[in-house]
Amino acid sequence: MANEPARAALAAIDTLLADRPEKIGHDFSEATRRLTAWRAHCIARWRRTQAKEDRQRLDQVNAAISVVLGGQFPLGRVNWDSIESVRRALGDL
Amino acid sequence: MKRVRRRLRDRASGFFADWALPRQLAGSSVMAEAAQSTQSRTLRPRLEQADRIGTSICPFCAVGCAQLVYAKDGRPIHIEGDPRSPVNQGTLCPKGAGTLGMLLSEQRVNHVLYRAPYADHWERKPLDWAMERIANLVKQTRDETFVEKLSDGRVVNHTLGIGSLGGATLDNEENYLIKKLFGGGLGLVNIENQARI
Amino acid sequence: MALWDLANSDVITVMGSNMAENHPVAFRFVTQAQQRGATVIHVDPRFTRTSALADIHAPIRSGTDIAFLGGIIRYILFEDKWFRDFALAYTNLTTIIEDAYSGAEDNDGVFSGFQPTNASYQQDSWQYKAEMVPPAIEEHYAQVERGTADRAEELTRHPPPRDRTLQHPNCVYQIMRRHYARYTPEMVERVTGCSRDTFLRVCEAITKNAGRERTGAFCYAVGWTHHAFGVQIIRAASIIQGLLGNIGRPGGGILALRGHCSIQGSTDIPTLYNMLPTYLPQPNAYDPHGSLEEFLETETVPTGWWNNLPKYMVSLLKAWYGANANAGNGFCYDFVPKLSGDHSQLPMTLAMVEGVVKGQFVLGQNPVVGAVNSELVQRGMAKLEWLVVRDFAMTETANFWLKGGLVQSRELSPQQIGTEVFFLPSAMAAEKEGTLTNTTRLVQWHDKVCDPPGDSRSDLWFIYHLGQRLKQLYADSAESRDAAIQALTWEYPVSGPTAEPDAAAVLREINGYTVADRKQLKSFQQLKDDGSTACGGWMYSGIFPDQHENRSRARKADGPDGNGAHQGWAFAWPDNRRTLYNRASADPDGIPWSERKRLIWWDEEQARWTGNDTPDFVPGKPPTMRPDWAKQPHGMEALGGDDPFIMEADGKCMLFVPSGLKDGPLPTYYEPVESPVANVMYGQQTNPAARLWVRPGNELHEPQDPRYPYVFTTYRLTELHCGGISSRVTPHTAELQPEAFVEVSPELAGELGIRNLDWTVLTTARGSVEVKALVTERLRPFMIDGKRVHQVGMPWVFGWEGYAHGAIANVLLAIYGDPNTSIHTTKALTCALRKGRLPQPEPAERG
Repeated sequence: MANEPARAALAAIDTLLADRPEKIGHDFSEATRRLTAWRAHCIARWRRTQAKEDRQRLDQVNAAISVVLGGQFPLGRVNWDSIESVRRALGDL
Repeated sequence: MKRVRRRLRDRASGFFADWALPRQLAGSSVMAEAAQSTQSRTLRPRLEQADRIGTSICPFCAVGCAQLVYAKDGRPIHIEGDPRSPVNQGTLCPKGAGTLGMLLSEQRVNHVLYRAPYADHWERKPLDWAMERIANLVKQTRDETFVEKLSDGRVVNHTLGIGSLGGATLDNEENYLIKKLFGGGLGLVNIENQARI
Repeated sequence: MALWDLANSDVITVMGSNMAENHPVAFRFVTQAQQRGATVIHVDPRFTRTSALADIHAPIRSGTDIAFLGGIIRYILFEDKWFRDFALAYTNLTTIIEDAYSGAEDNDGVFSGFQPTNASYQQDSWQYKAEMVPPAIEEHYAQVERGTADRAEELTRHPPPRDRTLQHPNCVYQIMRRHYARYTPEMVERVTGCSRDTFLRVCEAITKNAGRERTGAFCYAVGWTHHAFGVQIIRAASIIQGLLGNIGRPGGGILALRGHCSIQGSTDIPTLYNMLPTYLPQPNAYDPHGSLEEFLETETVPTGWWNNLPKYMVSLLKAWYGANANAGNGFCYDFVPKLSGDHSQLPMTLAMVEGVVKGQFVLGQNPVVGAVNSELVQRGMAKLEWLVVRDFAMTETANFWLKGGLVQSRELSPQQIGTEVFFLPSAMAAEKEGTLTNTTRLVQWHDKVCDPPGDSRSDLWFIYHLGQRLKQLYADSAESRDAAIQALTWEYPVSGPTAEPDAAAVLREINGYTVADRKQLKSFQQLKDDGSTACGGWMYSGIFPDQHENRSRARKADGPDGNGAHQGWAFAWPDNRRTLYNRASADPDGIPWSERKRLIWWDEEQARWTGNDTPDFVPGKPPTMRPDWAKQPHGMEALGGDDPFIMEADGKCMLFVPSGLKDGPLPTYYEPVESPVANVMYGQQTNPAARLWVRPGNELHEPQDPRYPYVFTTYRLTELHCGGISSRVTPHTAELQPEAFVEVSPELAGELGIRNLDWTVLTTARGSVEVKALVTERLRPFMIDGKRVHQVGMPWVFGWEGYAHGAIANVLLAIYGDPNTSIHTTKALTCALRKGRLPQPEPAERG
């Protein structure tokens, strides 16, 4: 059921978690951009369906953007636990 | 012909009567009557026309020079440093002295301009229309980007989908309401201004 | 310090500022001091009008300020020039630091606690021995291991460990001696390019004018802040002032010359992401801030003034959420959005480029000209769905899609930019009323004298009416996420045909009131943490002490027989105090250090502090009072009558900073991120904690990159104001500075065959601009460690709008930040320069 933007975003987060880059760089940027593309997809769908599950998915993608962007521009250290938790939550979709 | 001559003579004698130099050479003070002429006697200070005077603060840097603003019919006619202020004691720098020119600049835009997506031109729009459209866009963007909780349960109640930049040229009251509405009301965290940088 | 207090200084060092040209009216007080015999010093790479009026001009290469100031600190310590009675009593010079601490001198430029994996520091080893000292203003939760936070309570049990003999190897005095030992005059000359003799003349002038009888001041502007280590430059100056006793005293201090009329106000009542009004920390999702209780427990400092935090936080929530906020629901604390990272302007810009930000307000700011990496900024704006710009004339930000760099270079056309743009005309200062806070905390009301033309409205009007519309749009929502906007108090009276909201009503809310009978509060001393008071900004409390008494409108300056504090002119926060930490103007016994430099003192008969200013201290606390440690005192009870620095947990001026700084407890010399030379002081080239966000379009130059051999700096002009459009549309200021230029030294011009007024091209990895050359001796090459280094400079005040035009200097700059503030770097980068022009893009079809 996963669409293309979703697959790409999940793959980018997986790469991020595998690499755990020390410095802000391509991995984070890639994950953030893939997530915003996925969000655009979710928004379009939610506007069309107004279905509860589509809204739920949009909420989760937005939460994932907050966490990944927080890793890209951290205050102090990157909270990897949160990024792992995001990946788990998205994986349940 | 005679009339012309007389007129010339009158003008010449008027000119000599008005000419300040002989009086000044004769020893009268250049700062007093010796400097006057028929024309200067009829001149009145522009400030006499002002129907309203108030104290403003210079809108440029953060030194906070006080300005006396003179207005007539709702329009400024003169701005000068406020001599009472212990900050500037009546002085202004070139920017502050240019405040009147800024307020009256012909390059001011006094109406709403709107650029539709992908358009190659501006169009004029009513203020009320723009306010309504902006309010609806804010609501839509906020609703579609809002995060109540992160996936690990942390409450954030924020949106990263809207940003606000600016405030270092605005009043404290304006900044207070911006932070209150955007932060406290709508959940924006992207609120920044020139004070950062 | 008040601006006019500069006239009381015996030595004034202007550094990181061209004060005579950019703050000319404030500079009058410098010349007044000079006429009374003061020495004026200008430390700056360029010879400007400030240098021309100074007694000593010390030229230094851009970005080497910490080497220079560190050299002064060394001179003070090694030549024994410090003000002993002041520094021993009022600074943490005697305090003993943890055994585990090791300094930059031991680790080739890095302090103990550095975590290379995320370029940040663990601060445990910087703490006072066996204690944890929280930062005074907790902008960010200190990165200290959770278990050690309990050690903060140690502050309530006994005074910090001290050695007044200064012999302990880990007392701050000994640590500083070791740290600054290598900042010798010879080293200063090698790094900064300033001759040893000139440097020593500066040291002598500064130290000669210190002590009981004399005081000195520093004046700085963005020449100090706009670096990847800007905070540490200012810290270096505070160490000098602490050692010399130049804080809290007439003519002493560090004066920040800020650039916008409300830049101080918008920091106090912040439109900044990491603070709530008047320096309360914005809650963070990753800190223990889950509930109000947890937030207050974590952030409240046990000792010192900031122990009052709960009163200020609860009163703010009451001001925002009114009757909805009660003890049962944590005063609606959940409604306050939590941070999940760095959301400051630079990351916000990059988040725009990534597509995270979809809608953007720009209120009286012009980031296309004023923000670094202008083309990347425009790339971000082109990704927005909507953009609202409020200004009084067309700005480069509003019409980036029509005339911006990406459109000019044919990379994009308007037909490819989907951003919906609104330009709303704004009212200007004399056309609306309200308060502006100047750079010395002076809050001044400005009257509405004339009417804004056409559809121009105040920003107060805009935000108030936008709020009204949004409250209506959300009125019927049952969603929990909309409860905050529904609960928000938003009742301000409006008047006139445009329904203009009443600015005084907003200022009354900022001042604070009692909830039960809505009486204005006289002072922040009345604030409570039980919900019985509401206050929008505790530091401003007292500005509107009565329904009809607006102290920001006070217009009675001192006459010739006044004490010179001008307390009847406007209102200075807090509590109309004109000089902060003025308790330090008297000795530990409460007696002025000298008759010449008296400000406040202890009056034994009245049993209170009195003098020529409102005491920045507990009015009735005698100098002899000592904390009763047996009672485990908290708050101000834990500070003695001889602890002037009440905002610090130990009441002392922090020469060594144990918490709060992200890049070290002591200022350390690093080369700028982009530099033509290697760091000769340490193996560590640049600030290891700098926030670097390298990405396509935002590349950085490696140190000593031969492609970018020249130091590049930017600055402002007397006649044109920042990036703002305000002075470029004003006919007479635009006529005085009609066109952009780059300043080039005759030596470099000779090498490159550039004559005055020739076209040149400046290039960095971020972009290129073409601009005419001004060949001038105001800039000279520096000899840096035996190598000739050229520097070029360009004003950043130009753009394509207005009467005065020219290339945008910030096209050349990169997005990276100071670790403490995320401030960008504009003062010391590298660039290439050649004679000639940019290639013109092929004309493209426009439809």
